Amino acid sequence: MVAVSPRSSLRSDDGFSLIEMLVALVVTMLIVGTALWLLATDTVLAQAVPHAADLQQRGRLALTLLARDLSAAGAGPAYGRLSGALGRALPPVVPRRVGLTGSDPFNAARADAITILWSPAPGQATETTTAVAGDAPAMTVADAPNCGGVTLCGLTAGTNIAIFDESGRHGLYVVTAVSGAVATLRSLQPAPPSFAPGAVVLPVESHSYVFDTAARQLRSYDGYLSDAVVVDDVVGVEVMYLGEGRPPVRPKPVAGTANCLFDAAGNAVAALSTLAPAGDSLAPLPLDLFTDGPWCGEGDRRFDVDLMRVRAVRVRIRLQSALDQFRATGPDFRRPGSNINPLGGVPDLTVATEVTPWNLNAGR
Amino acid sequence: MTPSSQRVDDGFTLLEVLLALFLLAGVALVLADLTCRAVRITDRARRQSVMAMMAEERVEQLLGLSWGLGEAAAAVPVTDTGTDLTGALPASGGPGLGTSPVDALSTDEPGHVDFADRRGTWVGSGPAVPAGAEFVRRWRIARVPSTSECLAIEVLVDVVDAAGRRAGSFTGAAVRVATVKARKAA
Repeated sequence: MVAVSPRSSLRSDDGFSLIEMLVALVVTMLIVGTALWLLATDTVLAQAVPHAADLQQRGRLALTLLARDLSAAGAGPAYGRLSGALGRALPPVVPRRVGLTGSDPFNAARADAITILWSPAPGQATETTTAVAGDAPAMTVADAPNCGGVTLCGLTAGTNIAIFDESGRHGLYVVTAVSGAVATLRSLQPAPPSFAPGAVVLPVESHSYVFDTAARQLRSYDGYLSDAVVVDDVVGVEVMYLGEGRPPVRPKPVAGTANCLFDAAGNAVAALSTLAPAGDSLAPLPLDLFTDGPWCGEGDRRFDVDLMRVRAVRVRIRLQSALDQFRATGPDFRRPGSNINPLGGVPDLTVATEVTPWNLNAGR
Repeated sequence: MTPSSQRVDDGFTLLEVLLALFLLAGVALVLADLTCRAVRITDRARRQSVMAMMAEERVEQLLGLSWGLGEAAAAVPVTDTGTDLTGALPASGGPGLGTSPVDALSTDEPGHVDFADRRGTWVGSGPAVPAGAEFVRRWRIARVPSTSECLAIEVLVDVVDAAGRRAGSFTGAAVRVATVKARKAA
């Protein structure tokens, strides 16, 4: 501070002139105004950025999980009569939810659901040595060379298994108890088929990815008791199938038995359409192709044999920002929100992938 | 009147007030800059995700084209040389898995390039850059030199520059995925 002198005290008494005051006020307002504008913009952006990042993370998570399961689709027994891809006997991907609870009917085909089936342990393949009844199923299995003398080929309580044969007849079960060499099973679908001795037994995993429209969630169901949310705030799921234009030649039953494709003499009985492939390889498969039969298999595990054509699966998932305040109106927002600040909007994110599962493409 | 009470009466000088305001503005500026960076980084992450997604998608589609030994008992090599993947859906009239020009990753070769918007949705296949394109995707197929039974597949996805893109004008943040496809029997 300046020391008080007669001159300076006189000056301070003078105060500011009007011009000085106005200049100071304008400068102050400009600086304060700019600072406040920056802070306000900053606040809006700082709130929106974590939600944009969250949206991307959810998108990547959903795609990663789906692509991982789809890549494994169709992994079948490594040993035994039907060794190779599951697609020799049954469809590894079906366009609906399948399992113990909330199954879609066998003749449904949805664009917003897919069930993927594969074996996590192809080496544990074996065959039944007793008939498996439709009601109260139980089984004993052969000590195949790959089982190495281990009881029930290593199948323990809690393992999910598939039992199937050449005709396309198949069922999914969970091993509920093991007593000596006998495994007690629980069928994972209503009206399970019965099997003669010699049906193939294989540990499998079944994952149904289903879009829950009301809750706006993508859920993953294991076909038994676990039905978990994969990601929230999903506003659209679209699954598309590409596959063979030529009619399927499997499942082919053993000589003397018939199924939906062949009579007992091994002659083709079904007149299936040949689709024009888009190019040399794959044809887009419309969903209604999967709802018109002929139907192979039995009970709730019946399937449209055109599902055996599937070679590639394309998935699109659209996600939105969780909070209403970050959604605005317009084509970028499936569900409009309350945002009116163009900087603060977090547009919907669409993630997409196409998977060509190795096991659906043997020979290609 | 003591010197101290006189000091209180004096209040702040205009210089002091301006200094404080400049400080405030400086802090606001730094904060705004940080947020702008976060916005830029989030947008870059979005672009990288979309590019990785597009590259993976094309690799899978190329892997899905026939390059096998068929499902018959006698192995017959089957090669897809007719599928066009440059559209929204596969179509006829393209090169399929036929060997592509060596510069297919650096220039727009017909049948080996397409464009997508900022969501990664297909918007066109050239030769001109379609309106709304944010990404360009190119791919190259080559026989692995030591064997005629393996294909090397490379896919490159990059950002289209705002000025409408000239060949080779890239941002340097491209995504490149390579894989090998072998002939296999049923």
